[in-house]
Amino acid sequence: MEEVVELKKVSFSYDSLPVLRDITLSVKKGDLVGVIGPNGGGKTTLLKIILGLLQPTKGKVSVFGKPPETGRGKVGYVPQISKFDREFPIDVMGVVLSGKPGNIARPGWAYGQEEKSSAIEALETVGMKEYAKRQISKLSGGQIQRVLLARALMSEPGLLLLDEPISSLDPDAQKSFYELLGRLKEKMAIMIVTHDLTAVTEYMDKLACLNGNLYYHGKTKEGIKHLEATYQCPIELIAHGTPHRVLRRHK
Amino acid sequence: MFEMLQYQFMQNAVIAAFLVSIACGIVGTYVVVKRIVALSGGIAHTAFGGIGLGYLLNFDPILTAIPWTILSALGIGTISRETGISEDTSIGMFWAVGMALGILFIYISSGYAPDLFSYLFGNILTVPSGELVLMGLMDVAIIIFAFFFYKKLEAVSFDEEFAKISGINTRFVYLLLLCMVALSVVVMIKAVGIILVIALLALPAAIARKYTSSLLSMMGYAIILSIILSLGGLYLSYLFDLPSGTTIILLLACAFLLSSVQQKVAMN
Repeated sequence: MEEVVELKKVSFSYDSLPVLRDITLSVKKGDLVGVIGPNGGGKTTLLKIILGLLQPTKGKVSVFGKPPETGRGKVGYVPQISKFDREFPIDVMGVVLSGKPGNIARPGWAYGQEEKSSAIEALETVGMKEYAKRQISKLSGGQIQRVLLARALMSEPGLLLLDEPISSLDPDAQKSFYELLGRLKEKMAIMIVTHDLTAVTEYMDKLACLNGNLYYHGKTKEGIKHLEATYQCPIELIAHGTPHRVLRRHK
Repeated sequence: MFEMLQYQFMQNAVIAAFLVSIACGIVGTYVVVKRIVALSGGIAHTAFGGIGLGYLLNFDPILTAIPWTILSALGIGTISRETGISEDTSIGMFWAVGMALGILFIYISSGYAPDLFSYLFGNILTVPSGELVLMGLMDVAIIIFAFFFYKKLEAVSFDEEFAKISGINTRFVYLLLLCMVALSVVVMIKAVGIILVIALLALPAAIARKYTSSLLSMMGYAIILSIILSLGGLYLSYLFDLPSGTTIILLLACAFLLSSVQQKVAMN
């Protein structure tokens, strides 16, 4: 399978504070990778390095065999919804249309018919077509998440990066969101940063356990036993639908 | 009401109100949604240095204020983004230094500036016809920028990080926006004055935002609101013999308060 993301011995520090140490991992087309780990473990930093927003202090990153700044043209990014101004005067179509760089390069406020129909198509993929004219302030968290996913799909990405996509969704919405990602991964590689261990064990084929170091990278089934080392506390995983329980205090 | 329009200075004031409203409606929309009200306040106050430079060089102060304010805007934008200095620190620095330089320039030139007060607090009744042409030209520049960069400005205002990943030169777009703020500040100086500019920039757009679903309609509403409120303020100041800039700003604040109350009531 085609190599999409490759990190070789990547380290990163904010000023002198090390965040990532010697991370080596590779993601291929068709992978649905869950990136998990505690807060401050470097999950978001890892995404930003792949997006070329941060430069690693050491090591080499390639996205589609190129440096991230040039490779990111084929990367779709779905940020955390918490950082958005929900009152921003824009409707669903406006958000989705802005996802394609070619769309926003032209002057004026009107979009072409072709651009609009590709946006409708992206909305159809995420099941939000009937909300096209809706103001974003009138959407639920799960719906905004889907709209942001549609926006990311506009650039026809080969790699999809999602930052905490499901933290605000109810269980039903989570399930259908993951099923949607499961369908999308046939055409691309997907990396999801998440806290939700249950979702990881249920829906993802691969795990990356991150806490400064990369504790594990590989198939989910064998990865579960590495969770304790990642979180540095005992973790009990309970089957389907039940959140994990953290036993005893975190060190 | 109409007898007041027979005076030349009143006609000029009405035209000035329209020109000011176009600038503050368009640029104010971005200022409000991008949350750079404080930054724009900083840019407005640096303009005083440009006014002072005009006195020093014996030039029309508005003409020297244009490049001065644009350079200050680029300075604030660059320093707060590219260096370790935080945004509010650089705003505070430019704000005070701009004012200080203005006073220094005026002091060096002669120490006497008869219409200094009108630059600080505005007097829409004293806008000469030549100045109206200049304001119109700056409006045209703002409209051209807003048209050509509409989608980029929208993308950068909504989600700057995503815009950057999409390959937009976000630094350029942001600095362009700050230059538009600088231009609109200079357009408004004569009408409401440097100290009050920020209210005219922020309030009509802030009211308009509550009733709109796109940046374009927000701009339209903000322009109309600003025309109504500045003409209303002008009329009240004429009626009660009050300073025009102050009356306009206070009327804007009342309208903002009313719309906030109305929104609260409508939600319950």
